[in-house]
Amino acid sequence: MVPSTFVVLRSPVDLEVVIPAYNESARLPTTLQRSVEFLADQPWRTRLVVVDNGSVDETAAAARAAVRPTDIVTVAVIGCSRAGKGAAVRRGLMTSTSPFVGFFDADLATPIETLTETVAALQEGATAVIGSRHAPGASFVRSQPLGRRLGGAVFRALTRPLVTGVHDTQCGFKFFQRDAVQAAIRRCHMTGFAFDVELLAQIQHGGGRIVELPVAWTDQTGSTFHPIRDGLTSFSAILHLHWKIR
Amino acid sequence: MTPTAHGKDALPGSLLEQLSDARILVLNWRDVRHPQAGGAEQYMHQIACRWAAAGAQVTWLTARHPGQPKQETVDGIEIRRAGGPLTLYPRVALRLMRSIGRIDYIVDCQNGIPFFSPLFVAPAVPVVQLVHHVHQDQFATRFGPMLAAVGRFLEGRVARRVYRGRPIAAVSPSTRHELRRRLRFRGPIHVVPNGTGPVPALRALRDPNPAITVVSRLVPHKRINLLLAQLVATAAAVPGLRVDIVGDGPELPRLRQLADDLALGSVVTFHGYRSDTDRDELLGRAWLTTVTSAAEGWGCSIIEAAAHGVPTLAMRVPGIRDSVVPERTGWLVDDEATFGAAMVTALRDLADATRAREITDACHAWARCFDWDRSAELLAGVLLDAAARATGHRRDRSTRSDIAAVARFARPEGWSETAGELRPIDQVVVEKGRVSLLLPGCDEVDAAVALSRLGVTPAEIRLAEQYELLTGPAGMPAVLGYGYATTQDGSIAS
Repeated sequence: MVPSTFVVLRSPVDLEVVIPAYNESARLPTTLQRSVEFLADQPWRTRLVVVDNGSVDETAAAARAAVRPTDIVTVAVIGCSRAGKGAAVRRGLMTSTSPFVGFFDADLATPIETLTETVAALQEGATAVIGSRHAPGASFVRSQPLGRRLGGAVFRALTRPLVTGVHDTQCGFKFFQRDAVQAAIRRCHMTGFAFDVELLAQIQHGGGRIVELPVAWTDQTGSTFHPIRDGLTSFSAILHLHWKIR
Repeated sequence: MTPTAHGKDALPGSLLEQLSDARILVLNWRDVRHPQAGGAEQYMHQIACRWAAAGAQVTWLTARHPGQPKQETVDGIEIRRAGGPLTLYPRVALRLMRSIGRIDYIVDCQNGIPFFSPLFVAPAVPVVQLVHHVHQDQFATRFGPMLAAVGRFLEGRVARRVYRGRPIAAVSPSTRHELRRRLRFRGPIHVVPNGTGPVPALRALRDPNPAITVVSRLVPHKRINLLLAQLVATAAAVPGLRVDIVGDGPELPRLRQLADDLALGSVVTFHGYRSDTDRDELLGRAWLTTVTSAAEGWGCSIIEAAAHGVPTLAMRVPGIRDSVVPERTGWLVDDEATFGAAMVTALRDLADATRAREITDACHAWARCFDWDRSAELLAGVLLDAAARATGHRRDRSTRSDIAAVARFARPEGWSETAGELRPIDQVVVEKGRVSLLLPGCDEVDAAVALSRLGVTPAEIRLAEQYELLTGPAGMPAVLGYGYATTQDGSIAS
């Protein structure tokens, strides 16, 4: 008998973009529209995969209504009952069968045009291509508040030994060779804010090569990141990773 | 497991049977015989009398309006009245403390302020809080600033503490959304929609001229004044328009005056309170009904109009937006300043006989989705689930319970045995050998895992759509032409 979970896999396209969404009915439609506009002109077939993380604000319906699918770009809406962006991203990546797969945030803080360079790098054999707000050449379109910048600097100092040669593990823009990322995810345990760090560490652990692309980042309002509560959680998760990986 | 009714293949083991002999306490500030009883009392009464008919022993504790007997049995429900609108609450609390060991289930109906029953009974007694809508904004319209603040505090922060983890039944997805957003409730919230009366097979003869009938209590939050103001332009654009307003209330004199001031005397007729037959006749001949409320829990009058084949034009506001299928059973307006223009467009659309017939068919089909037998089953499922939850015999499939998955597959041999594996809140419809399941709290993968445990290979698993939370796993009737976008994502077919 075919395992039941088989029915939740999506048919392959060239590239799948996972967008984790929790109560994003306000911002998501614009993000989808802008993405479709850009992707329609690209030579690859893309599917935008919205992962509804148990929203109550009709995020799924808003996503379905936002765009008209074409031969080149389609939209899928799937669910993830486990709370947390990491869990939602994980679900989207693990149910893909497309050669290239990755995720970006529902607020589209990284310009969608970055995908051109991303796909080129993946085609040239990079295992992971990630946006970076701190690699040489990156910029902040609107600068972050001081507290956030300080916290970020400490966080980066702590993660540096875990992920070699990567300036910014936290940018919400990451794309992968599917086989490699699925193998890495199977070894990952975290679903919170440290999810990205663990994922990248596991990619390198599996012999993967990570390419950082400097991006022009726009800090969006409406972030769900709470500096104290989530900051502390992230730090303790990173310390835990140090203990586990080293 | 909730088998969903009408004309579908019979399924064994109705949830109501599991409630037979159960002692169920309903706490509600009013009962169906109270002079001001409204939709909320009707809802609980319709459900409770079905439980009683199935053998449950239902006791309804409520306030005593002057002239009402202390105790009477209505439709199998034992109603016990004591206290006024405020003293009722401490009296119920005392009563609960005295009835230790004699209650199997409690339905705590929240009409702004709940009864806080979890404080007065043992933790093992399953309590379900029933919420029609969130009152945070309404306290200020009814009370002074101090009392309103107390109301908001009790409905929000205090209730959140007291009912923590206890399941809630909400009458619509909108109400669930408000409970999460406004009151920040984190426990499980189940959607248990209203039913409606019988749906006539044929539509009554429509008025040859454009006609709008509004059936409503005339109270401020229904905002009939907004309708009147918008009617001025509509009446000018639609010659021969007549508007019948059926219903009574404290606003009637003011609304009459307003209609006169706006020179709508020849267009608008206030009928006041009318018998059901008269009301149905006025409604039946209408082309359209309107709802101008700023928010509701659910649009009972919308579904009643739909049962008569009459579509609705309404504001896109919580509760109401769930009760209308846009472009099929009515229209939703975002900006109240354009309500009048929208009435003109709707009436012109309805002037076309073919289009009007299509809309009538859609309205009938929509109204048939709401049936009290199903509501009674769904709320019974929530009670049984609450019991499993209270005693800890429950496998929690999720952390975010607002998600739901729909699965469809061919009915396997011996399905009736496996059906016992489902949770009481899971909904199932079997039609022509095809099983449709709605699994609350499950995403697609959770659903696939649950089904593989049942030995079922599903043909299709996907996220439930908003409307399916109301209509159940069978989905929207085909005549509503509401296409599910399941093929474009490529995710779902096996």
